[in-house]
Amino acid sequence: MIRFDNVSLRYGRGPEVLSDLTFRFEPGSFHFIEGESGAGKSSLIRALSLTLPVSAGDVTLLGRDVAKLSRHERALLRRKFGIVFQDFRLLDHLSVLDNVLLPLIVCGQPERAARQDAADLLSWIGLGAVLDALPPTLSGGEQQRVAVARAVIGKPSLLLADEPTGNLDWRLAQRLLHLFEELNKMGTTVVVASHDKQLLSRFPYPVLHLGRNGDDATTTPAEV
Amino acid sequence: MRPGFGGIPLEKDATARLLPALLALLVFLAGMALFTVFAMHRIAAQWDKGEAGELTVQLPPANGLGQNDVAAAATAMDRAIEILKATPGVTLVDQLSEAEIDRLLAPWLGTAEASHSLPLPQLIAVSLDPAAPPDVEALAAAIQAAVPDALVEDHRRGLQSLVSLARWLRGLSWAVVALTFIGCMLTVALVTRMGLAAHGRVIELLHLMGAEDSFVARQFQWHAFKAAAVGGPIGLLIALGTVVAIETGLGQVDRALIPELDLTPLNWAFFILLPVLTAAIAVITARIATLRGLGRLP
Repeated sequence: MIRFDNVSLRYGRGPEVLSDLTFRFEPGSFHFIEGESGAGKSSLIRALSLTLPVSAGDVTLLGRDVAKLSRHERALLRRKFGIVFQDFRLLDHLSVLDNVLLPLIVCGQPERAARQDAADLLSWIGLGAVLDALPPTLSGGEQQRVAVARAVIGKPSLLLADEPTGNLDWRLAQRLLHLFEELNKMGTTVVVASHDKQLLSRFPYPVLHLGRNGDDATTTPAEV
Repeated sequence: MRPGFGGIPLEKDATARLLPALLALLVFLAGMALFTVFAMHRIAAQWDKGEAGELTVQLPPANGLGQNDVAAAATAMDRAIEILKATPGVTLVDQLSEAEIDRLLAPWLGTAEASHSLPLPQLIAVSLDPAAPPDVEALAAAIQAAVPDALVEDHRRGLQSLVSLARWLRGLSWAVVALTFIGCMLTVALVTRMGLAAHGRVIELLHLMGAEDSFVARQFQWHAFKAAAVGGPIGLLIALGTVVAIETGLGQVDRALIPELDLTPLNWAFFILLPVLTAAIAVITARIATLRGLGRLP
């Protein structure tokens, strides 16, 4: 379960990016976060991924009160997350296989077994022929699939995606969200931040709308 | 896991090439300072030994004089030797022959037999018991009472300041060794901070994946270890080459002035330890610097 109670967030002494935000996502649910540019979608994703501390309020992630977690426990909790970034954030000096392998290495899995798992996943998504290629040599769509493979290789309990369709054409964007649906059906909680109202309206999942003045509300897709 | 494989491309940094050279230089400097420590220790010990255990007694010349004076000089020598041998704490009394005096003067007067052409004093080398030395002033007074022109030269006066200087240089050299280790720490800390700054995005990504600080620190430790493993032995080899060159050079110098500086097995062990210690310091520093640098991440 993910729960935010009266959460506010600001950078340094600047204005509040998120103000008194309260919501609750059930385990295994699928949610969109929608809002204009600057509404705080990326900040919320960062707060959800434990890379940005909130300035007020209570946050519960996967049933754990994050305020009570030690540094070690926070690292262990992050291992249950998969994150997809708009700019993919692939490591250009590592091969496609090593990029996907990295989360498993971070978790301490033996490299040989992890290597086989990563190769199998990449073959399954049609990238078996480019295992040793460097990311800059791939097309945008291929890079995007590598980024998704890296996010899901560890079978995450929570998948966070920040504008994952921002660099994709309409067809690829839809395919990506269908892939997220498949993951959701296997029990992964999925949270996708996007500004693309038209795309979100094609999926029957609740949307958390972030307004610029703190007028946040959860709505159905039809109401967006 | 492949050694060092953890996503951070530290081997591509400019510091990857620079750090081994810097560590080699520091090990070289530490090696030279350590050699100075051992050399000063040996010199101080040698001079200290001379200071505590030896005297020279000079008597009026016996050569180039008339028959009566030669007899008087022989009598003076006998008296002085008699007094010395009767003094408790004197372990050896050695009247130097003319050949031995010529050898002592050879560095200044050449190989010519100076003792035949110059009125040189007669010399007695006296060894004292370091554990229970006699009262040198009383001994000098007794000899001068028997042989008025006798001169008792106490080596302590000349060597005292040299021994102090050698000991001071030894202490200074230890300080230089310590400074090079501090230099090693600062260098590795600086390189680690530069690496953390240069690879901030990669480190943040690893952090997001759930990497613990120690996972990131291990990569910087491995980077520092590799640099030390390359630079340390190179620095040591250059230092040892320099030591051998100095030893060879000193071999040409009169050993009466500078004692043998042959290194003991323990000394060599200290030299071998230098790169090992440097590697250990580099790894520990890299770890501490990384963990402190990562503390800013939530």
